[in-house]
Amino acid sequence: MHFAHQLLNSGFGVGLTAFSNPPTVTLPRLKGITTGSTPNFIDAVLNIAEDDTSSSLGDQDSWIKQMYLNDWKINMFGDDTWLKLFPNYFSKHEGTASFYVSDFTIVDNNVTRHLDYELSEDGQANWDCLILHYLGLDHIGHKGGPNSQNMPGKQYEMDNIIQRIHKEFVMKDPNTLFVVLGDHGMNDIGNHGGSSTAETSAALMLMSQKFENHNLNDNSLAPIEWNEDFTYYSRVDQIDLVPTLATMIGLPIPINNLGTFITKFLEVFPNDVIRKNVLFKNALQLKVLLDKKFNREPEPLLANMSIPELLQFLAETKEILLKTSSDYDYKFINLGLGLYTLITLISYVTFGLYFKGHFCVAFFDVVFFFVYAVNFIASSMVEEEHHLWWFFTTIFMAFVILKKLRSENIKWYSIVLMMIGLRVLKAWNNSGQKHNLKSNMKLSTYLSQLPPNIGPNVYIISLFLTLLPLLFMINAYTKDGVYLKIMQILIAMLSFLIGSLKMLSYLTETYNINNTILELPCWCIKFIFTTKKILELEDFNKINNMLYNLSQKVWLAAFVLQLLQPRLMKLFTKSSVSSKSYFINILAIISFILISQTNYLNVPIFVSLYLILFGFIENAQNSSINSNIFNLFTILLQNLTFFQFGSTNSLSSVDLTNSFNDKLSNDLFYKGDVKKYKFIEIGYECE
Amino acid sequence: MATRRSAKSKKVSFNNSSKIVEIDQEEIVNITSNADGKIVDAEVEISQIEEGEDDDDDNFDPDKMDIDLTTGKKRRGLKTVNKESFIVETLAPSLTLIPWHLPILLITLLLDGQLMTDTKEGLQKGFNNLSVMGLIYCVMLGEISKCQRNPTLKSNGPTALEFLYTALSFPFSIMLSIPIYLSFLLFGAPAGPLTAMTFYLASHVTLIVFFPLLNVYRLTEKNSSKIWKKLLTFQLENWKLNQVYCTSIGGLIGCWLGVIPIPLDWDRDWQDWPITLLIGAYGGAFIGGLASYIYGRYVMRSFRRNA
Repeated sequence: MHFAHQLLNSGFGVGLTAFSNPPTVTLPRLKGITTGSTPNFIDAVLNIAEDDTSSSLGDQDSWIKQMYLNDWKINMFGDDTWLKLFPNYFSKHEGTASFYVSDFTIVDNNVTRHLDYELSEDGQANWDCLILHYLGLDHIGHKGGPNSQNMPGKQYEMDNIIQRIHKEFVMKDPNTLFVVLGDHGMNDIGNHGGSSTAETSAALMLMSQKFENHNLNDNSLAPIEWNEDFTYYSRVDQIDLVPTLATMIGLPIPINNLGTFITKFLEVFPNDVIRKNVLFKNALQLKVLLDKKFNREPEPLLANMSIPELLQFLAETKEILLKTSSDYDYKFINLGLGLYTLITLISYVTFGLYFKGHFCVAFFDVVFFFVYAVNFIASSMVEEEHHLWWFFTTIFMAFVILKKLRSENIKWYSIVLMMIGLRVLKAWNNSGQKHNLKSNMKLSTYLSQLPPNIGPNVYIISLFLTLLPLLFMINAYTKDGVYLKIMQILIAMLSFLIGSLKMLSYLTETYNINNTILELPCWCIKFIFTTKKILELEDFNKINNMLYNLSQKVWLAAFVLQLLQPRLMKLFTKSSVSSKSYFINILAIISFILISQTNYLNVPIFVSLYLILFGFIENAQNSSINSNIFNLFTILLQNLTFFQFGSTNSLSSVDLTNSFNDKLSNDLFYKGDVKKYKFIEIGYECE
Repeated sequence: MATRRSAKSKKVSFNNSSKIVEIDQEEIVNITSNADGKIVDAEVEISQIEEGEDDDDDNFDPDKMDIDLTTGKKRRGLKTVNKESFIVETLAPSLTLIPWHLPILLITLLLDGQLMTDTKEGLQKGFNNLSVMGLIYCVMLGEISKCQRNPTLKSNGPTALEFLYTALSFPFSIMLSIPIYLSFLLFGAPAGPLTAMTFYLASHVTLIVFFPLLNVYRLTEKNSSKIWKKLLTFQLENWKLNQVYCTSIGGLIGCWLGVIPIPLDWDRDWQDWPITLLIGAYGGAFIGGLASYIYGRYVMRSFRRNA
């Protein structure tokens, strides 16, 4: 961001760190930035529900509405969340869908291509406010994290756009205000939505010719060294932008605004009277809200307050209003709680009736349910829920092993392999908030940081380890020769397609293909060129989509064939299918779709899942008759795998990497966490 | 559903040295079930019988999990335990068997405070203290077990050979901290920069758990391999009366439960790895020994009253 730094240092630009209220996702943040209010948590859900219209801000007061009422022409290009919020206010607009996170270039080009016209003499006459919402940086963050290879290039591109707007527009008109801001930050993995410092500290930069001689940057020179609490220049709230912006452009402050004028910019105004007026306007607006809140008769504000008094009044009012800004309907909350208790009691009674007479069998279950319920009382335990699952899984495994130790034929290797599988599963990703830093050891990070001459080799081995057992699984139990051959061909095709998909995304995401292609092993270069040549495509996103499309079709064919197998066998060979081979095949085929939907760095986890499954079947053979043990295994591993795939209870960890693998079917079904169902499938197999 | 007729008989003999020897008798439990209208007779041999009054508390006994949930009957032929040819000796309950040194060491360790500021140094210091106290405790254990095994013998302290055994068992139990460390790792202990800490923890735990056991059930005895197999696979009969064994189990369970406070967001310096686990191991071992002693006294008194 060379040019932006230059602007900051020359005094044209004023840099700030703006606190963005959680939930730090686009829709609630845009609400905050435009209306100045704090968000409700339902907004976080609405952020994902794309076609919902209830989130519209059409009736609420915002600076967009104020501009519209004052006959300003507003043009908007970029994220279509704006269009959802303000359906009719823009005179000209083009929205880009914000969930195609694998796309870094088209979303931004769709915005930039409008600049040619809008910044021309002709275009400039046709708007009073221009809103550009670039999505590329956000998408790169989601896909590759803050240290992604694509980050520097994108930032350079953004810098060039800032330079262009500054040169062609801001410098020509002294009455222009140019605001650059991020609506939210991102955490170490590149996701956002939570309330960590990195997510809530967004950048804010205001530029105008009028700032030039006021030295508003406290003499700090950009670029500033990285610091742990992400404070660069001074800190403000993101909602403070609303009154500041409204005052600077001379519009009324939106009535629901809770922000206060950013004190720093008082200096820009020529004398104390005007400064006082600015603050007075803000104070009056907040006072109305305050009186409403406490149902007070509006008492006259002391018009003769001095500037420091006004500032203090503003700060205090803001604090009170922010605290009380969320109202709850306790009647419904209590009703919900009551119903919950009732349902809990009913399920406990049915549970008790089921295990009547041999309650000791269910002892572990009851202890577990109880601890799980107690767990939710402490908020830190909710954040660190994965510890609970790990704790219970290890207790459970220790129990299975102990039981096995008493029998005569102990297979030590299966026990050790099972425990190693579990340990690798735990070490692959960190979950939770407390220790979820990049610096903490986790295997997926190691894999992504290997040097280009070793990394692809390691990854391809893990891919083989992941995909080959599935092939063996099908070979081992299917008896019929012809059917086996067809299945083998289909499965081999699937393995090849999904393997190359994952390999390709590994290569493109971890290494900057254009710069380091020569450092990659020879076979990788050949692989990339051959795929490009065969598919006659250059863009990796398109290659991905195409391969994904193809693999989906093959998968569907294999799945349907497998489902129809008993019928087909009856028809052609007059033989029946053993249920074991049937379920094993289904398990293998379903694993393929799960692997294809898994983040490329998580694919090797499947190897450890095979180990756990193998070890469990080997060691719990006697007790697998006991349905209780088997049920517990399913429940425990379902949840453990959910957390160990890197997910947490926080919204910020919803992994969008694979959400639009196949653009043709942008069905929300794929977006959910497919992983949680992984062990249910394995469950069928044991039964 | 199922009717169970069992004739439990138990002989407990106290000899002069008040050693408790429990003789379990093979029994046949007839199970008659008519869940599906059919009558199924199953003969289940049970060789391990827990104390009668404790049946309800001991819910987590894996042996009892072999019950078909749908019919509620015992599974046929699942348990065929061969006859026990020997019995693992249990030392009579006694105050001296309780590891008094553990709470004292723990309190000094915590009062010292070095554990929090410089964990590694604190662990090393604690390890040195534990070794000295553990050696004394183990020599004492050896003496007690020798006297109980041979009540007529009047011992003037351990012989040179016995001393040598205790001295050798010390480095041997330190060596055992390697497998303990590996199993800690498999059960989720952090690797990487905290490896040294985990290793210290493992060495503390082996000194608490294995060192005393090695001196009561000596490897030089003739049945030692069978005894140790039983010890390691938790198949000990009347383990609740076995104070030394309960100390070890308590140490392991305490260590396991010690992990719970770590994820809480209290941000205390004692929440660091592995301090809570260490406290859990020390405390658990002491509580295990104490509980076993109280239980032993209780059983002895009730038998005396009956006799």
